Amino acid sequence: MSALTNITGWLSHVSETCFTACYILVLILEVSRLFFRVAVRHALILLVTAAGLFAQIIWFCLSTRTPETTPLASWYGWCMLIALAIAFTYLLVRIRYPDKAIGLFLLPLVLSLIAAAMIFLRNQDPFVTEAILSFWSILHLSALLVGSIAAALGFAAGIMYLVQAFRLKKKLPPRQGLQLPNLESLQWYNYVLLTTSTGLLAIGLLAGIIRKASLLAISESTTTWDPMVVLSSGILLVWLMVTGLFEYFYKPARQGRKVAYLTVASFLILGAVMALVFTTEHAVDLDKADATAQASSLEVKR
Amino acid sequence: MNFQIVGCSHHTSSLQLREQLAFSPDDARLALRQLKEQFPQAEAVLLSTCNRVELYTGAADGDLVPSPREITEFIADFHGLNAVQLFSELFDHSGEEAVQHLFATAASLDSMVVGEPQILAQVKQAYEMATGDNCTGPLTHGVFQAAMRVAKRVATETTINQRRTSIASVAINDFSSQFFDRYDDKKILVIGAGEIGTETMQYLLDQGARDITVINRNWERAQELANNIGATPLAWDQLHEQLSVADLVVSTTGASEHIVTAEQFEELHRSRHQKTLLVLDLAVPRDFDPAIAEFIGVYLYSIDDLQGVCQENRQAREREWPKAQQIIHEEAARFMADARHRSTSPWIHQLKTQADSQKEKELLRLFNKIDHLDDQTRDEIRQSFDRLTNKLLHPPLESLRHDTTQGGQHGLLDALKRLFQLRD
Repeated sequence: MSALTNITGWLSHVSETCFTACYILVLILEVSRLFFRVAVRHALILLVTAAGLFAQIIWFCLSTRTPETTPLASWYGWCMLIALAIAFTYLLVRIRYPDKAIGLFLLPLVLSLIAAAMIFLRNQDPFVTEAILSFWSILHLSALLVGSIAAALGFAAGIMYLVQAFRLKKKLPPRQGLQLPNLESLQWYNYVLLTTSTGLLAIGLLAGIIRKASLLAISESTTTWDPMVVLSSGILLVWLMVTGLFEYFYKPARQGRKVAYLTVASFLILGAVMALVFTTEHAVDLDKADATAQASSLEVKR
Repeated sequence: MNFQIVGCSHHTSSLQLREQLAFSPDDARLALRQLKEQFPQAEAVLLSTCNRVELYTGAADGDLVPSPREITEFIADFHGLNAVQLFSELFDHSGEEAVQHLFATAASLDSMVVGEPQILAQVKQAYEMATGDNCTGPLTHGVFQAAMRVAKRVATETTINQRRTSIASVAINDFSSQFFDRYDDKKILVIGAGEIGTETMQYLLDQGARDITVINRNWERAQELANNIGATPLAWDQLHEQLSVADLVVSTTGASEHIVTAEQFEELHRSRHQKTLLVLDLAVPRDFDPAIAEFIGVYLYSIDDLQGVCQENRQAREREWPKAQQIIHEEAARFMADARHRSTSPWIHQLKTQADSQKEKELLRLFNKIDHLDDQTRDEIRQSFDRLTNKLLHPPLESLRHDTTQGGQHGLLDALKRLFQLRD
């Protein structure tokens, strides 16, 4: 019993620093592949990545002790969850393709998301748990979350495709430690991730619009549409429609460099839209509106 | 023990001579049977490939092995050639040198394309054929099984066979693999029916390619080649139509000017919708206009691009060469030491038996003379005799072991046989 208490006590010290340090160490090991060969590096990379994932999962589990800090209840946790998903994908890919330098593309993304979360989003107000437990909210958040993960992975696959295509076009020999998957695989990953992210982001946006519209109807216009959120959602929606139409009507957009350009652009636009949303009180407003709606519905019942 | 080899290879002989001395599988069987009739005590394995003809012979007793001269005469007789002319053309090795040669051959260090994997399979086939015809024995079993083990060790511990050096293998395994994940769903167009094109198609088939089209100016040649590998032959006028749907093009014609110009390709390119196209232009002069490489989605590689990689791979193999040679020397020395050690075993056994026999006789005589001895005393005496015999035999046997591992150069085995009057 005391041993369990000791372990719990020890695990309670796990912080963002632990898994960030692990991912930085893995990135350093990945970069070192460009310069020299070491027999134990692959095992070390797998071990440290697994340790980082373990620390991040423990950190998430400990965070859920308070409702405000559940992963989906704040932009901070949201970003961390995307980073966790990408790091997990990296581990799986690293096991499957130990000779490919995929870490050089995925790990900077993981670290950038963690850094962005820690620098810009740590002090943002969390969402209220009751507000995110409605069907449309869950759909809105989860579709946007999975769509964002797909867009981030698509971004990495797109960059890899462009690097590999450039190298092959210029007939440059593969550098030691910078082996990439073949063009056909990268094109397939790009296409699947672009289609998935486009679909999920569209579903997430539409679910958010429906939820907001229903809240406005219940709360009898006590809250309004945030112009910045409307603008950012509009930009994203237009982009998703353009991407879909472009893919459907323009055949070259489904293959080669075009699909890679689209996945990279999708992620950058998503990032820009998210940055716009972060500047608003979108989630906080959402919760207040929920609370008001709940209060007014209680009053109606009385 | 005597193990030797007589033969010729691409290093020492012309293609013409190798062709004259080559054995088909049926010829090889017949030759082995005839050799067995002439030299019943000798073990033999015949290795005949396009780059070498080598006849390995051996026997536990060196006197029973045919001499290199006899082997050369046998090969000349079999092929109806003049033996006198052959003497200067064939090489011969014996003992450790022959073992080293076999190990290096099996490990593909002696091949024309160093590191190519087929030779190991050919060595194995030759050994199995000889075994099937009862031409092998303890010595050839030992040396050929060791050769296969050594070849695997070289393949595992060095990268000498991981880097390809032929144009066709580099084209498919080093270049094409960076573009395609699989070949069974790809449309492959082979233009020309030359040697490189045929070899490239073989590599593509090995990788799982199914949809291969052969286009050649000479329709009969295209048809012949396509039939051999299960591809589709098409007339020359279908070239542009096929180019607009192909994923991979291998071009090897002997045309004196471009068969596809940039202007012609521009029209085709529109219908391709920027789909990825890999063109391996292996012809000299080039079949495809170099300007075609500028089109989006088109990756054009000429034979010069491929030769650069071949050269790099050759250099990489050369860097691995000393390591592979070291393995061959180590293993050959170990094999010879083991073989020599095995050859002394019957004599050591005979010496020990002789000593034991003398000891038992002396003990019996002693126990008969002193009959009041109890069992404990008898055991003490017996153990004392045992120790004495062992102590007397240990130094000469240890010296003999040491001498055999060093190659038996001091002739201690012969001395031992004479000193202790050991006989066959």
